[in-house]
Amino acid sequence: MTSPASWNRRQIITTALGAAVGLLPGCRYRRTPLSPLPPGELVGADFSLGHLVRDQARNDSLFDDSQLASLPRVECDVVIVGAGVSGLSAARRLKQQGIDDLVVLELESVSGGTARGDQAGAFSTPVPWGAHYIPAPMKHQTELIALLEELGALEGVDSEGHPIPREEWSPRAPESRFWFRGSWYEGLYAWPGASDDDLNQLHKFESLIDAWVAWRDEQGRRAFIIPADQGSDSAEVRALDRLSMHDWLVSHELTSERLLDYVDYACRDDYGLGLRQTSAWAGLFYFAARQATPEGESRPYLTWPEGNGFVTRFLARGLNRLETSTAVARVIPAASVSERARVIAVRPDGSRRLFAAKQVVFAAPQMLAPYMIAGYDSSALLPWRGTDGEGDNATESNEEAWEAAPATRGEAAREFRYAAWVVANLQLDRAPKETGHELAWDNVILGSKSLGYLATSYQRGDDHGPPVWSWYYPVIDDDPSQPRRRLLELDRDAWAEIVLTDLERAHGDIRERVQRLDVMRWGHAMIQPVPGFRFGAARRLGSEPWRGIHFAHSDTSGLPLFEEAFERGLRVADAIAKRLKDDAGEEAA
Amino acid sequence: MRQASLLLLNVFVIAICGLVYELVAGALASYVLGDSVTQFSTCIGVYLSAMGLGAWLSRFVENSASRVFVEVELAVALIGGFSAPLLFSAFAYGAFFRPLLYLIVGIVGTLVGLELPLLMRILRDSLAFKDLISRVLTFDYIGALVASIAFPLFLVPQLGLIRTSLVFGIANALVGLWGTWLLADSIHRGLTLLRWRAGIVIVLLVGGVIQADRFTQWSEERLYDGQIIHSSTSNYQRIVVTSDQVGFQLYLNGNLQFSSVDEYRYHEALVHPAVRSFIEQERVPRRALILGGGDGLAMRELLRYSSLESLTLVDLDPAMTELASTFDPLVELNQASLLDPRVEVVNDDAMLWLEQPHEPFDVVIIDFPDPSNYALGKLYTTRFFRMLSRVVTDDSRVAIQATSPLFTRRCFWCILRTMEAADWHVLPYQASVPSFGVWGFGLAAREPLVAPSTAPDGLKHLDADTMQSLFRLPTDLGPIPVEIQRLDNQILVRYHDEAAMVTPESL
Repeated sequence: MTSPASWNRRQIITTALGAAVGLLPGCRYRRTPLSPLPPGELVGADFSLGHLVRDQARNDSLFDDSQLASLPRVECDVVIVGAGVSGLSAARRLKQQGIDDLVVLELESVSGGTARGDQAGAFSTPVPWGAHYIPAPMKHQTELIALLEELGALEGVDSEGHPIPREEWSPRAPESRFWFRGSWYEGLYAWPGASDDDLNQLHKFESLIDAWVAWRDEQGRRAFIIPADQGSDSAEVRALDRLSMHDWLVSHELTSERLLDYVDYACRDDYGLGLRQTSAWAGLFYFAARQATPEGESRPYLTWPEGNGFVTRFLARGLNRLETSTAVARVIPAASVSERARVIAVRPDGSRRLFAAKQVVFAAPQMLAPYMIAGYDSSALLPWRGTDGEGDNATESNEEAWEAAPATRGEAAREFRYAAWVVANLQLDRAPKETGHELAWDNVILGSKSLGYLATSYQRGDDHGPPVWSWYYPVIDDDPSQPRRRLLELDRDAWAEIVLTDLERAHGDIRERVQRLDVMRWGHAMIQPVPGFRFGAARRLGSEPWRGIHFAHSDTSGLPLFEEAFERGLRVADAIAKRLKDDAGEEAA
Repeated sequence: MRQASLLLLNVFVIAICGLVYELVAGALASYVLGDSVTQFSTCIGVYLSAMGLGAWLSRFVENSASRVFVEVELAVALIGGFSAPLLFSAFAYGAFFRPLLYLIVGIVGTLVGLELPLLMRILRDSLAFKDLISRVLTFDYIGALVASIAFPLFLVPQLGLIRTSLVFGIANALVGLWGTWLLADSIHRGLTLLRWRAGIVIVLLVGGVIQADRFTQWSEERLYDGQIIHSSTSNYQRIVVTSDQVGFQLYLNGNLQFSSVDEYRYHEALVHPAVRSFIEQERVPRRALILGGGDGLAMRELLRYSSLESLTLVDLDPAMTELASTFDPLVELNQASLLDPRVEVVNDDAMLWLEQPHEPFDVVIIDFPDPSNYALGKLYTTRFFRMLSRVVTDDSRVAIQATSPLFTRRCFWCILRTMEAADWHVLPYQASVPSFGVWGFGLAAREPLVAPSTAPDGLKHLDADTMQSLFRLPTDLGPIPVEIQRLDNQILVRYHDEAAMVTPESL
């Protein structure tokens, strides 16, 4: 296997976009040298601080008691590790509960996690660098509705009582179009030239989804609902988590290539996983959880030019102790109930501080926990249950799931797998050439391994100014022998080449139009709901609090969704608030 | 004998093709130049005489009648097949339509004239002379009958002129290709090359059929009734001004915006109800805004009110406002309104312009093109009308052109209902503009309002009586149930598309 640095253009393109694309322009490439790439840079992730912390974390001598005693010490009620959606949601809820003595520590220079976005600067509009939409909540999601109402993101309710998204923050119609055999068409499903069998299978798939929307278990719970914990964990639902979405489709004799491609796109879009790697439970969740009634419309989206960064900035408002560019090197849990947990944080200049907290919210990916939390890796097999343990509602009822339970917390944490993503923002001087249906919010190139692009400037209401597009790409390891993950190590120029080659299919003159192209690489962007993960022991273990440390990241729900992260943050905050109030009550007594 | 029957089938096919080209040329000439009696007469005359020329020329073909027959078929296929697209292009560009028409009719006629004599020579060895003449002519006339009946009943309505000519080009080319097998014995050499050429001709014609829709759309956009006196393509649209005996017309992207003959009816109805309604509240208008209206004609009407101190016009396209300020016929018509010192012209997308803060206006005139695409549709959304409410006071009056309540009734009511959904009070009204038919408007305010009952002196169309009558809507223009136009549904663009289906299908 060659290293990325030595890949030639064709290898890069073939690996990133597939052989069909790699070969076609490759022929042309040999004859004519490529036009120079537009300027731009790699943005985001400050790897140097990450590496500094990793080196420190490995050196146990830096964390012995004598060393720690010499560090500047900050006392507080709660330390929150990570300022993504779940960490910010927990922080905001704690403040609402009257707990003001809290510190949020964030590795990156800006908060927001994968919901990050930028204001206009390098680009003529604000741009998203990660998650960029939230399905409008249904009426039962009262806490999310309250947040969105505060944001002014909702305008009234529909005839069934579900909130209506504010007009300018809802995707402009037409919501999506796809590039297929030389032209753009409205929608996402490749309908041009579809056979009767193709369409019958699509309808059958839709009626199977409708059946799941209508389905209720003995307790009256839906199978798929946001947040996922409110959904059913009956045997019938858990069975879905044991097979892949592909196998589920095939088991219903759904083998139409167009349908498989359509569902595969959905899985890649939401989970960064292919059809064969996504749990059928998660695949169905994508379609069924956002539909209020059978045969009803899917919930409309809410979206902002800077993506969900618009919401995280609001969540972070009023947090006076949100410390960015601050890496947590180690979390040392309290030795006893009466003591405090110690969180050691490092600044880019190497300076260290010790935060002594009554409770800790771990709102970073679970996979980091064994490296950051002292004693976590080798901690015993059964979950430690504190009085604040608000365990998964499924814990007691599913003994069989524990058969393959990991032996330690560390083993469980290593079962958490994450999708890598690349996001590029492009500044164009004017609209490029194209044929077929008019521009849409979401523009998908069928057959591409990318997810296409969002017309970010268009969504802002700008139809005539210089366009800004946001291109999304999940790095999917469908074949371990493929060096796809290495793509993530490619530099800006290599990525610019991939982006332009991808878009060139639908817009012949894209290279002349692009004035700037910046690239964001996300190494561990989203939890992957592979078969067995959602209802498996590892996820359940990882979501259990451990020695005063509470896990809030969306990965503990098994779904990489804003709503899940938001919900986890709230639940963890509520548990901590209750605990702190109980302790205060005891002390007073 | 079998070869002979098959060749007679060829006679049938080429007879149909030959007549179809003649009819296509005649129909196209009538459509483009008018006066169908003259056009059909001259086309048929040129065609028949050219056929005579072809028949005469056939004597110069010596031994290789079979090869020449195949060659002629391919040539007819190519020229006849592409005759309609070529003539449309020539007309769209306004260049050499007549010479090209007669040149094509002449060439196709000559080639068709060659066909039968050559075929008869090929067939003479297999058939007795009396049989030959009787059969060939029988098939020829039956073919002509089939073509003449199919052309008006099926071909033009179903395929349109462009596809018809291309499809029969393919038929001719297939006859040629078939001939390379049927007549293989008498062609001898170069068969492969001949077949390749036939293949290429067929591919070209099939490609033409596939692209026919796009071509029709493209050429339709360039079809104007009058003579083109200005045409330019800006970053946003194609601007064409045409002229005829009675006046001149402005087209944007092929859609008529006004005709100088009756534009005063439209612009008086657009502007004066809003201003009078404001004045009838005992208020003096000082500031006015026009959104769209880059032709300066609405501005001309506003400038009749000397109390107006500040007039702002926001139009997307600088090419349009530039034309309205410099192109003599237009400047004369709008009375140099955009050059008035009180007028400020801003070239911006009205929606983005409304995002910025502005002093409130007493009168706002909205004169956008019809909502034929999403970029225009956004200017009729609840979002837009909510933004609009930021630049007015409770006393302000807004008038909006709202498409035809007769031809696009759902669009008309959708626009008005959408304004209401954005908390405007709206009075529908209509005026008759011969170039457009019945045209619809809305008069809107933040507070409940009554229709104006007065009109300024000196207007061509409106007086106090007419002003009041504008607001009386006949039953057939009355309200119908519609959805509300939002950025995230663009229902209005769909309504407009559905109404616009009524186009001359015969193209």
